[in-house]
Amino acid sequence: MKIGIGLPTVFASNQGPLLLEWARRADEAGFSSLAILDRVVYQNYEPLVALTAAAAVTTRIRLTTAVLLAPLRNPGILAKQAASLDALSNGRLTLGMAVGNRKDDFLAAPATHTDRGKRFEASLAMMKRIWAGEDAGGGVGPIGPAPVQRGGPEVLIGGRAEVALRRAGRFGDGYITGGINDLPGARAAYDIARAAWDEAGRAGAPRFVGSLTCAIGDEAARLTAEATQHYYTYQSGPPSNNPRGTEATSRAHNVPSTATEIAELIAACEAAGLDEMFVRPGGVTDPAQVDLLAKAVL
Amino acid sequence: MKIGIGTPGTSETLDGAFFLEYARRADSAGFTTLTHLDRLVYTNHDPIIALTAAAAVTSRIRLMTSVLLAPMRNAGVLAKQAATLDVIAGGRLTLGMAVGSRPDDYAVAPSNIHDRGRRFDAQLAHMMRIWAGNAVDGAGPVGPVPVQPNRPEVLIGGRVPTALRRVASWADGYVTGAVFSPSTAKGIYDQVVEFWKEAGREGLPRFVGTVACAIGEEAAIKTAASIDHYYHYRGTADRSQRPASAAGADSRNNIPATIPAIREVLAACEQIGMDEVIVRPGVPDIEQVDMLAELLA
Repeated sequence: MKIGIGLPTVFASNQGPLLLEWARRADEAGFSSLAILDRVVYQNYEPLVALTAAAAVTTRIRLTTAVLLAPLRNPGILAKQAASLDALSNGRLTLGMAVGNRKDDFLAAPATHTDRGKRFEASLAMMKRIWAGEDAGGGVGPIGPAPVQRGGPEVLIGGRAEVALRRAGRFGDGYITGGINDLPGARAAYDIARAAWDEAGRAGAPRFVGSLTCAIGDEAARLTAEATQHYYTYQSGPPSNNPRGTEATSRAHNVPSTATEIAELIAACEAAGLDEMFVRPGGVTDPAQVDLLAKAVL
Repeated sequence: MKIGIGTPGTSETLDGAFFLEYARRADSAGFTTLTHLDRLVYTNHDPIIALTAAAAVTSRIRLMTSVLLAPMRNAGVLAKQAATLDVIAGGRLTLGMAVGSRPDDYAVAPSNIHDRGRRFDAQLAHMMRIWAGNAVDGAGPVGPVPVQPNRPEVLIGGRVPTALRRVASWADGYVTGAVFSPSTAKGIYDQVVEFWKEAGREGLPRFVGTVACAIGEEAAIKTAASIDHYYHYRGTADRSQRPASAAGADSRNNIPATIPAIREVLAACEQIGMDEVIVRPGVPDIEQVDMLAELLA
């Protein structure tokens, strides 16, 4: 099983250099990939821009959006931005995507909230045509630049509803899940994606990717618990049905903070069949945490 | 007058290593700004992505979209991307924006081309609220906070009066594309100044333009060819679509190819009051950066 590392949930406006340093250290330490989340109404850095900056100062590590909320963006623009990042990083982009849920993000984007699933599915087809250098629709195209990865960046799809899981199996290269607090649940979700994959007659199996919120040290774990709690409970504007609320609380109170605890959880993930997992110290911005985690898990 | 440099964005796709080296050399040579163009249905890299990569490997040079076609994008996402780029660049972003005019770009974004001007105004209001840390439609704030006080520098381009008036309403200055005729550019800038004064704004709008040029006859010929290709390229079977700029079609004989010839054009630009000129070669040749840097001596 590969092990990647997440960027902190939020870097402040004066911490751009820390992002670059975090990326350099993760690249040197040997993590497989660097993950970043997406949300509009929050203080986080925009993920495609942040990963491009990381790409420019690294040579080896993959770059993963975990996950990018695709229906907030016009798909032609998203396809071109992703292809540009893939080209500039020499083929290191993994585009983890989902539909998102929070109404405030859709208001601020702005984009319509109600048809986001349908639009996402149409977007996936269109983006793949663009990445393949084909007619993007209506006789228009081709749209450059050509991605370095043939046919486009790796696509992972996340979500919890059955339609999302089946979408991952039908259209994605794999399934990406946020929390692995509930490993049997994550495995059951993956199995739905895999069944849809098999039904579509696809060879092999979808990749199975997850994240573990953790940090080395009591203070780092406390900061990560706070950041996780804040991130999952924060919303503005109209209330959204947020299924993550209770889970966030449990995750925030259970941030593993020693090498032993983290190693046990990683072993459990591997036993559940994950192909790659990210360790994510969400509340820590000191790049020394990258080295601490590398020493503990690589 | 400041002198910046553009990426050879109209040439065939550039690889990542070339692009980063181009940015590094432009930064160390002392150019004031690095620009990159925007167009959807073309081989170019997206300007926000390209300039972010440049920001990560440079420390001094400003980074400018010249120009970004805003109405094809989701304004809130664009505002967040621009703020993030401004943060990574330590406050070096200039967002040059216009509405664009090509049906192929709008068809694929996809985005409605017919109300693009009106939507651009709404987008500018939306982005200004976000950069100021205010909520939009009850949602927000949207971070991160840009490093430049209030927001990234904003320049607006275009030719029709509505576009020129927009400079006074929202922006810090006016950006024009290739300057083939300084007197024409001056005439347009004068209108911008008129609107600026009518709006009661102090000082003068910044005035930025681009000069297509290259050192060496062969590079100049290739630059002309790349510009012609860019302006004539249609990503659609719709033959009724006109090139965006008639000026672009006449570039073949107008590409200065020596330092003295370029200096002459720059002097004309300075004469009409330009604050900054971007020299832009259309060939993917890294040596052009060093050769054009002689202009800074």
